[in-house]
Amino acid sequence: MRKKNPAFLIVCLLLAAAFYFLVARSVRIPDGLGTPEYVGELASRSGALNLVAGVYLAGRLYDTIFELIVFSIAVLGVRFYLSERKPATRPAPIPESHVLRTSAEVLFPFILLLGIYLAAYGGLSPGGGFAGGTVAASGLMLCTIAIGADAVAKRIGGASLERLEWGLPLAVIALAIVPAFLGRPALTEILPPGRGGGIFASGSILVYNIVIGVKVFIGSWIVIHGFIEHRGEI
Amino acid sequence: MTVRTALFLLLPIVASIALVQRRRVAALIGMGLFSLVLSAAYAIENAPDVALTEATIGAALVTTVYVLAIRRTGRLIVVADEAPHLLERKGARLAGLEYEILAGFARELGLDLSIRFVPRQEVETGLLSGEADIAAGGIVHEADPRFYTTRGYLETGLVRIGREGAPTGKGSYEGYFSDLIDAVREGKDVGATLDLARFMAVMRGDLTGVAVERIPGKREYVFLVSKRREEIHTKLAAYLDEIEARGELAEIIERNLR
Repeated sequence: MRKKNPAFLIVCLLLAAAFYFLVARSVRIPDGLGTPEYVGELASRSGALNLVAGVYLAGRLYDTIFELIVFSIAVLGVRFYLSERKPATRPAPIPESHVLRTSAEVLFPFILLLGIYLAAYGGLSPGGGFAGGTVAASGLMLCTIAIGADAVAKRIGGASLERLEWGLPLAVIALAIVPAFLGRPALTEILPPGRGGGIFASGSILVYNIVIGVKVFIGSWIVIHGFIEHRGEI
Repeated sequence: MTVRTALFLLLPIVASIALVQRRRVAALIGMGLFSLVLSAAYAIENAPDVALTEATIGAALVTTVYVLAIRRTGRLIVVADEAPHLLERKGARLAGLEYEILAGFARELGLDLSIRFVPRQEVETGLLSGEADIAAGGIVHEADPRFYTTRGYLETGLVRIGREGAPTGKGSYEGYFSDLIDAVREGKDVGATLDLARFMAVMRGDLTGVAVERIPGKREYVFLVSKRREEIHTKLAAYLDEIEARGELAEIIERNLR
């Protein structure tokens, strides 16, 4: 095993301590949880028309952060265990199908657009970062079946995406800490809610949804790509 | 009956269908279908967010990841050199005595049979590298510590062929069997030790100038199983005993070699 850099360990410990003092300690379970007053207060505070998004990105942001960490650990587990199982020979790729290739080329932009829409409008309508990210990743999966994993990885810059993967949950944690530096409790809104029910009306929920969407998209891609690389094409 | 009731009734039905499937891929498709019905049920219960996530994750992503994960484990991979009447291609489909045995065995284990035809010299390497579980295709083999060998399922013999007046060539051909047939047809210098099934096929060609010598001794066709797949070996041995006891083996032999 490679020797760990002590500086890396210290930075990790400092981050964990900062997270504890700035974020975890500021979690307050409000009184009257679940009452109509609480729900109304949450809606006006977050600006979310979709109350579900209001709950998991404003009222319960810490839940979402841990959910993201669980997802990242799952992706890490897939990468770790698959990297140990290098196949002796690469399995034969699937024969190219013209029908599949054409439909993937036509459908992919629409699927990607739907994914972006679901993530961006998650604060206003059903969807959100998790659903949007997986929709976009399923579009990528369609392309993978049609033209092969290597070609897709080359087109989307798979290697640099994989490096981004752990940066995004850290970005969400950093965003959650920002209010603490502005004199407000951590895990509250960074941006004030907008007006008029447009895309910016959901304030910081929009930012969180987009970051989570990208994170889930990259994570799902890593899992699919990992399995295809080590288990052969579908 | 409302749509809501229909969906809720459909849920246990689809789940049971997925549970009783013997083939893993079919079970996975059942599971994906269950996710779709469940997501429709969520949508009707006013939970569109959960419905969307269930549809994309449960029906699309998880199903794909499972299909990829069981790609190897859900298959019985057989490497073989084509052998007439034992394991051969007939147009687009496969046929033969060994094919019927292996297809029945794979069905019993709930696995998808995947047969890869390779040149003869690669049959053993395929088994040793762990790429394949079973080697087939008219194998007449003495006990070899590198593999598990099943009991013989049919008696055969060995015949050496070679150019007349010259010492027989190499002990065995190493490429595809079809190449050997072509070489005999074109009157090329051939040298090979063949089992009876292959020899009968070669005999149909022009054998002038080819010396034929029978190697004495009784021999049997066997299957080789990879040392990494002990449980497959035990199960295949039990399966061969079972179909022999039921009289199925004799029927299969009769059907293919008559």
